[in-house]
Amino acid sequence: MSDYVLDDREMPQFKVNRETMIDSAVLMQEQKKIFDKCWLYVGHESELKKPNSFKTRKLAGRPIIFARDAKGEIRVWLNSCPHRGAMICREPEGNARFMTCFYHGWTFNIAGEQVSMPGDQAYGENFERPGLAKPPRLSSYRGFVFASFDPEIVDLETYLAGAKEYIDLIADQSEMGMEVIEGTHEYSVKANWKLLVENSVDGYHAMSTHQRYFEMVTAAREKLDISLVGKERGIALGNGHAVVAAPPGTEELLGRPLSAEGQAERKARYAAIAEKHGDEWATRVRGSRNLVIFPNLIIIDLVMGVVIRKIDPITPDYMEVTAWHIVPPEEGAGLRAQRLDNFLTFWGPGGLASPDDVEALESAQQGFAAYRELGWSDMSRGMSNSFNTGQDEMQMRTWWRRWNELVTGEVLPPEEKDPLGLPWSGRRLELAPADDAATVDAATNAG
Amino acid sequence: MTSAVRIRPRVDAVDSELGRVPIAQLDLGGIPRGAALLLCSGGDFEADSAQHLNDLAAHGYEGVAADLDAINGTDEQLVDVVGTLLTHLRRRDWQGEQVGLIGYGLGGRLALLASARYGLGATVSVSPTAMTAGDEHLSPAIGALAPAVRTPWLGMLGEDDRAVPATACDELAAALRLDSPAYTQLVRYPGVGGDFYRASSESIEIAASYDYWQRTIEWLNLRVQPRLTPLAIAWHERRATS
Repeated sequence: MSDYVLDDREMPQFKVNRETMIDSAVLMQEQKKIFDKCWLYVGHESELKKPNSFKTRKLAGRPIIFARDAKGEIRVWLNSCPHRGAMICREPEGNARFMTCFYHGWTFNIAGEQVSMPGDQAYGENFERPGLAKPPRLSSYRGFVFASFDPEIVDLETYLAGAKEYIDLIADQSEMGMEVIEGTHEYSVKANWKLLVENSVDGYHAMSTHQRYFEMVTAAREKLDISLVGKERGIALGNGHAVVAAPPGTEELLGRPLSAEGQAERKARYAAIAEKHGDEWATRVRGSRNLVIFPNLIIIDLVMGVVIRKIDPITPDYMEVTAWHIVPPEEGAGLRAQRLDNFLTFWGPGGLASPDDVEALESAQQGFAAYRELGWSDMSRGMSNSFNTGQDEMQMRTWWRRWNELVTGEVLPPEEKDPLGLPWSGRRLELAPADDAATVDAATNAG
Repeated sequence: MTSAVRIRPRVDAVDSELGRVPIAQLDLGGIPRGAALLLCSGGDFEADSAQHLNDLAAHGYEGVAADLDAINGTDEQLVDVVGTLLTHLRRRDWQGEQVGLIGYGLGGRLALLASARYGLGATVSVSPTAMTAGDEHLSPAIGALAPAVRTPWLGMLGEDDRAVPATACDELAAALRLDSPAYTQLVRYPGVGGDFYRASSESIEIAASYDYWQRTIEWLNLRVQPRLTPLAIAWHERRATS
């Protein structure tokens, strides 16, 4: 039996050992058994608009260069000179055909090939000139780019399992292809990274933690419609992925109300989606969703916008968070302005919700100092029910069971629940020709 | 920006369709990093070309500066002359992607036109002229060029430059951002006019001048294809056949 997860189906009860939140040995295991073994989100293709565009960021603790090469291919390079290790690129983003290591002047093109090294005659004519190193696997699904350091990992679509459908629900919101807009939220939290994973799919905390936000909504709408609370479903999607999916109607619950023009534009978009993919699918698109893709990618699609959130552990009690906003580029200026306003009001690091979450997580982390006396956190809510609402905690249990399997090898079976009915079972039809190939395997990331 | 060692460029002329174009040429020994072609006008050739060529040499670029004041012609003809000057550079084995093109004034306008005609390493326009249709809007001919711009282009202008008002700048930036297949960037310096790059005793102009040159060198360094050494060429050939 695992030292970390207690999954008692008899009582029932589900507990997580708080040592997982404070122990550096656990973090080392996570890096080796999770981050080195899973598909990890790198970025969205729309972030790299022109040839030779690049972004630098971190992936499983490694510095990387996320780039579009001169031929338009998406590339991911390890941002470390094969000569002596210094980072080739020290800018957060830019556009460059060539990158030169400032330490000894070795130069590489953005396709990863070495172009020059000062005084190369000193190396002799047989010297094998190294190019940039890369993660062994790179693939994208509908513009979402993932990489893995495990050469043997299953293909991305197999890995994504049921989460694929929820990416479709995001990607289908634009005819032109969803686009990450300029600007990034970067913040840190003095808490274990897994706490933000839990928080991101935790409907239970919303009314108490985000009281300030709901007071604002009440003031803006004159009343707070809570009729949909508890109508959501927490759904296990396989491989540790999970979602809280709500039926249509959250646009009447969250955010400042949209203008009549904004509502009309949204209505027209949903009608176009229904025409292309059927009414059932359009109904699902209209709903909201909090999606976790194991281990550290969160995509939350609420009425105020779609946030893509990447969580990076740094130490057991410190994480870095990067978040982007993805939108339909064809959206009108008026609706975009309202979207941005609602997005920042809720998700911004200075907004009315994210700081509350940060406070809650940091408070929990401080509370974990009492782990010897109070060793376990509880996530049992909804275990005894035949279905799981967003207020329940099956989505966290799903994630933790996968975590437990990868870290300890113990396989815990999924929970048996009633089949999902409409709207959650609504199928995506192809009533009009598909305009894009979903998955792009970057076998050419060979440099 | 002053080079520690100053080399006097060789003065010569290149025959073109529009007549003889005076040039200053600075060749380097060893294996230069790349080549630069400077298009000068409005008296800049006489005043600045030797200094610019020396400053480029300090970064490993040999180069040719051309005096556009000596010729007249249509845009089409003038861009043909740029082609002739690029052919002149090929005598020293410089291919298009190994060349950075820097233009001032009329030369700046030609640098943008050339970025749509030729596949070069990089182009830079400093205070380009004749960019509007006579009002504050971008010339339709320039706007229509955007989808063809295939060489990364950097434009630098003074905010007080009446030849390129803010509206035209915004329209140019938007057209290039949306339509150009290549990466482009437009920088406007506050508080200075179109001659910000020339020698001045005004601190704000000195700052703009310093910044524009630094951006120019960085733009070239990030994009101009370096000349390969004999060992690198041999390695590439070996790799291609293995």
